[in-house]
Amino acid sequence: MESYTIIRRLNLSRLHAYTASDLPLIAAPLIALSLWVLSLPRVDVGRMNDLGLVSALPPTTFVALAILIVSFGFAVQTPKQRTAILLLHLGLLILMLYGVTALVEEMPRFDIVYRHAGFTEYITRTGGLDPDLDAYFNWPGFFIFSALLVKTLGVPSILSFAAWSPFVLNLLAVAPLYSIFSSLTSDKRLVWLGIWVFMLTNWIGQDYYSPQGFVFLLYLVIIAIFLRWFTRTSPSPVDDLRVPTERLARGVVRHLWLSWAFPPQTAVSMQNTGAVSRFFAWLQAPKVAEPTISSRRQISMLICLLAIFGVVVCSHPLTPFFVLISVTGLVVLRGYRPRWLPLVLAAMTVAWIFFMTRAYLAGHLAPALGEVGQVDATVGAGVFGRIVGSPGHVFITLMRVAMTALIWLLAVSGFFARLRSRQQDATVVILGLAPFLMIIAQSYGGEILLRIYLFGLPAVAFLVAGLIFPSSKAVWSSRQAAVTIALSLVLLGGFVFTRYGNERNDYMSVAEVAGMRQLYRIASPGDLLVDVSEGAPWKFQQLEQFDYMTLMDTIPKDLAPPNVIAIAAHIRHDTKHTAYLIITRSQAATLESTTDLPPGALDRLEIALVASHQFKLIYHNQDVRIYVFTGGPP
Amino acid sequence: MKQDTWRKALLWMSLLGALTLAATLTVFVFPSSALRPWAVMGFLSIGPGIVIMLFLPETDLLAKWMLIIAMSFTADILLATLFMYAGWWSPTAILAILLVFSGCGLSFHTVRSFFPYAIQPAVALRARRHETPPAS
Repeated sequence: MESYTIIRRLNLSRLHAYTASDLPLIAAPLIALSLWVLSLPRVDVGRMNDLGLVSALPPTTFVALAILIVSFGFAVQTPKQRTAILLLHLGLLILMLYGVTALVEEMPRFDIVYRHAGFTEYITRTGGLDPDLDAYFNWPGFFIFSALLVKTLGVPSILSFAAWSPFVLNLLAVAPLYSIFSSLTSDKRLVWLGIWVFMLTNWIGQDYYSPQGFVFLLYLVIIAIFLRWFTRTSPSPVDDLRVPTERLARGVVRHLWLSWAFPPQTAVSMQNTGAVSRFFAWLQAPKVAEPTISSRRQISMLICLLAIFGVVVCSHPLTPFFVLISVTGLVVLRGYRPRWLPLVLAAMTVAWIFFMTRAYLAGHLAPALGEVGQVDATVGAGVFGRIVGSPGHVFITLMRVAMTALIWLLAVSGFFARLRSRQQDATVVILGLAPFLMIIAQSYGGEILLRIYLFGLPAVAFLVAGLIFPSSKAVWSSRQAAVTIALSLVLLGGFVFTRYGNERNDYMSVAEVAGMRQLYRIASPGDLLVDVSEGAPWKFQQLEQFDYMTLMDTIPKDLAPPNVIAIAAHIRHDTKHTAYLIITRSQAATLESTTDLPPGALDRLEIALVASHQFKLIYHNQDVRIYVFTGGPP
Repeated sequence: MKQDTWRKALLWMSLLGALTLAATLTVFVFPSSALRPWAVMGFLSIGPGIVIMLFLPETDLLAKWMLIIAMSFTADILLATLFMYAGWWSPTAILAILLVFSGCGLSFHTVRSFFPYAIQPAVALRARRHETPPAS
């Protein structure tokens, strides 16, 4: 009797809802996890080739993932979905896809993470910011938080926990994605499959320990708040354009794509109207669920939204603009309220830029404005500029292009499949297309296309899932389960190459980090630290006390064939202090795979440097060699 | 308050209390404790957000967790950034303020949950009127 009372009080009676048919869906992911864990000790990251991590993973890891995928294919189809079971599947997928590197690699991956450790170390050591030192110090919110974490957690640096960033950020993204998708459809199968597809297609790799990775999570939260707690007005502001557009369409673009895309049967209410009217009716379709939300609640959520946006504004230069265009799109095209919200967001963004980033603007405003409208250059740098290097790297890059094209194609197909099933996805389309406006504004160092892919991905993932569940008729279908499994396997096949294809470059060994620590012990403030190409795990301490130079950026033509005289002259010209040349394993891998230098170029360069007697080896381990520049023959 | 709502509020308050206490003890009393990173990370990740969310009841659990985590990080970052630009940078002071904020929020919600009449006189008066049997 007493135990019954405890169970009742703890509400364990919910467990009774689970039936014997749920057992396989609980057992399968646990078997997959066991298999995956058992296969981890056999992963040898030192064996990686140009195909990346996939070349070092034992087949059992893929078997484990396949079991998980098959199990999810059935779990998401079950008429009575169990949230706990679906969360179990998602959690394990995120662990297997995004937590694997934290478990099999000894140190945090990505050279940039070490630079971020340096920014944090600067703040913890000096207790201040230096906006002239790096652009990041003009948007320092994330690094200030990192410094707070390091000091209060009592750990030596962010390197103690940075390796888990991809796993944690993607795990935390589940809740906002769930909220976003739930406000777009009442079909929970579509919601869960959308999140599943998102996790299988987020190969961009911006979830490492970085401001952009963190604020992308906040971007999702802002969109989730906006869609869930804010209501619409009907008609939206853009409805004023309906009549003139209709007149234009009658005269000019009749029978063109609008007629095809919005045929009369797309919605009962739209029958017997023109294509333009049907388009505007589609754009103005009501929200899936319009719950009654008190104005007091909306004001509370508005304050939360503005506070979160405040963090975005002070942490990253680009993300506020993605938030701004998405929210503006929803306000203007879908009639979300309050209509003045985009103006407030814009004012916050502009205020931060003009008042808090003057040091950065002084040197970068003209080049940044010069990139506006340079779409050709942006696409060229973002896509074609990356298809260079070793055959393995070229294959990975082409794979990324192909997978992106495939995912977008699936999303477009999903959109039309849902449209034919009378589902109104105007909000999704706006969220998917709005990021593309950024292509006009910036190349962002050739990375803007990657960011556009990332910020459009929630909408794209939703539409890809919509291809399988175009309507919300919840009936068991073995065909849909099979298609879900097949699609997931295809996306997984692409993911392991696109996400971890450059892992040989991104992986950092213990010896490399130890070598860099030795470098900082040897060098004195003011010295020049030289690397051949990017990829070394340095700059994680005393960031402002040293000068840095990357030969591949400054004198690439003198590296192959090696021109030691030119290199020595360049170093001599750059510093009056001691100079150190560093060659690391990851640097060599990056140089070999991502540049058009001939194979063995770095080895020949190193031999030439030693033979010149101007560089003397002062430290080496299995992955690092440090030379001191002596300035001339002894 | 309904029993289910009361039980959930108690659960959240217990979690907040445990995190606040653990972070306080590991930072200020046992700074070399191996539990310190876990306790402080746990507190900074959800502590301030729970206080805020106790004012904004939400039935959907995932939406609630989303707001708790987002508002926690937001409170941490905005406060830390404010301290930095004001020239008062002190991680210990920032953490202390967040702990005090959580402690005050916890106390307020405890009083509101267990002794609602203490902070809502109008409610108390109405309840007393209903409780008083009509004079015969």
